[in-house]
Amino acid sequence: MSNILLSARNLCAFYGATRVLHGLDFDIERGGVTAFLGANGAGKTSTLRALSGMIEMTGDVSFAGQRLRGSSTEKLAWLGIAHVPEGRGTFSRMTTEENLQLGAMTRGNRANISADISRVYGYFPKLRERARQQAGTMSGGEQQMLAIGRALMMRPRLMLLDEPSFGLAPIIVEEVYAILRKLNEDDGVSMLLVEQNATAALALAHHAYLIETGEIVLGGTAQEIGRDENVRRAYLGY
Amino acid sequence: MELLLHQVFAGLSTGGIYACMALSIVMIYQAIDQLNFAQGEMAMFSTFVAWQILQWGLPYWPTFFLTIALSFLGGIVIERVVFKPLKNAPALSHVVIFIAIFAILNSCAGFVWDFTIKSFPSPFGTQPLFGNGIISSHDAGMIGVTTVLLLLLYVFFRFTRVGLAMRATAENPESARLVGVRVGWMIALGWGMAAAIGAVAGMMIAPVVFLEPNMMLSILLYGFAGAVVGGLTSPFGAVVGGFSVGVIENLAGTFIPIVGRELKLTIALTLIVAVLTVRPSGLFGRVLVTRV
Repeated sequence: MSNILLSARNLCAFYGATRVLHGLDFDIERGGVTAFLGANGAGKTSTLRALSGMIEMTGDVSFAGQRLRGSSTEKLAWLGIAHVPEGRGTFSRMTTEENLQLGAMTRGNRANISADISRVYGYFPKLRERARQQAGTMSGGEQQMLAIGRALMMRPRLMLLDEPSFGLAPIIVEEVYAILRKLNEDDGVSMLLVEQNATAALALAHHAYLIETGEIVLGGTAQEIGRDENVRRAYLGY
Repeated sequence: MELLLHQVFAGLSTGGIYACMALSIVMIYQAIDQLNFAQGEMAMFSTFVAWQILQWGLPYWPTFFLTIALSFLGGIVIERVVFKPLKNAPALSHVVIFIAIFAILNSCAGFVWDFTIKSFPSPFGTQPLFGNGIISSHDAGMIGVTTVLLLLLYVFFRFTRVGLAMRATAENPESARLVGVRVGWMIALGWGMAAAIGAVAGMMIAPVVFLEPNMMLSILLYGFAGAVVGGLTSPFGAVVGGFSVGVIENLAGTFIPIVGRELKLTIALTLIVAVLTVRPSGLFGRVLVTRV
């Protein structure tokens, strides 16, 4: 079994006729956390959207030995790719519990599903308090936890996380990242993380890529990237 | 007093039909953001199919359920063949297609079964229930059937996984895809269910308004009124709106002398305009806020 869960070669992505990614090459390790860093508009979100079939893409992407090409978003979910989208994608008029149940849409066994809901509540005790509350009325941090919890309900092979720190207070960011670390270390959930908050992302990630205007300009282990002079000046601020 | 009660019950029984029409309009509106003008004609066509099967000699209740099943399939076929390819087309293309389906179903029904008025049997009979004039057995049966139908739908949407997936599709199709909901099929299912609900409404109202290709025209208007009063984004609101329109229409027709029978339909339109003016999202609808 190869240690590479997902590999992309010459990945390009389009919004209509406009090309926004210009041939990315990258690998995601099984059981690891890979971070994509970059400024606003660099193409981080587009990379995730391309990987889960939400925008047009070309190039070779293989996931767990299977070639992904033009697969629909829902089919990718069935393959085990759980995308926690930008803005969290909460079903805001439904309750927390219903949101979690929707996360288990790709799974058959009902007994396991309620066990998994309890497991998610174990990670996020606040969600248990909010089980019957309309998800749209919760705070940003709670909705981010719900989005991660919903992705966990899929028992994913790969989690795609789009700016989990976005719009959250620093203390909540810490809390969310602590849980992501726990999920990765204890449960071996592989993650592809996209962040503007480079400090938080590099502390969690094993590998990182720097992306600028739709191209990868730097890649390596998280330590290497963190030591890089330009990254430090531009993204870490020291 | 007896007249008042009679009118309220009569209003509730036709209101149930309006509620069904309103609900099927809302279901399709939720799925594709368009008002299905052809909803009434779909229901009318289903009712003709039922009439034909009855003519061939099948008893009422098997015909009833067979027609529901056929209409369900018909709704899915319409979505798959006509609307799925139009997924990304502008709103006007949808409107034109709705009008086309309206005209096609209407003239096909006229061509196959001609435009003469036919009577359609009621499974409940038309004698007064309990021997007094308050409610006829068909009115009571109509209320019963629509109540059972609405309860079944409530249970379906509230407690089943497919129902949950359909609600997710209506609320946030992109997120629904991300958790693996087959959004395209949920929309097709919504069409099937809307067609099936319409079939029930058509078969229930046909004994009252008689069967002919234009029978659903005014019913659809009342259905629209119900949907708008309740709010196009709220299935619950559509049901409440449908029942209210039925009762208001009957009471106004009886107790406001100037309205009488002739101006009854005007009430539906007045309600639509009034609600849209005062509360554009309807009584139970969500106010849509768009970030710009």
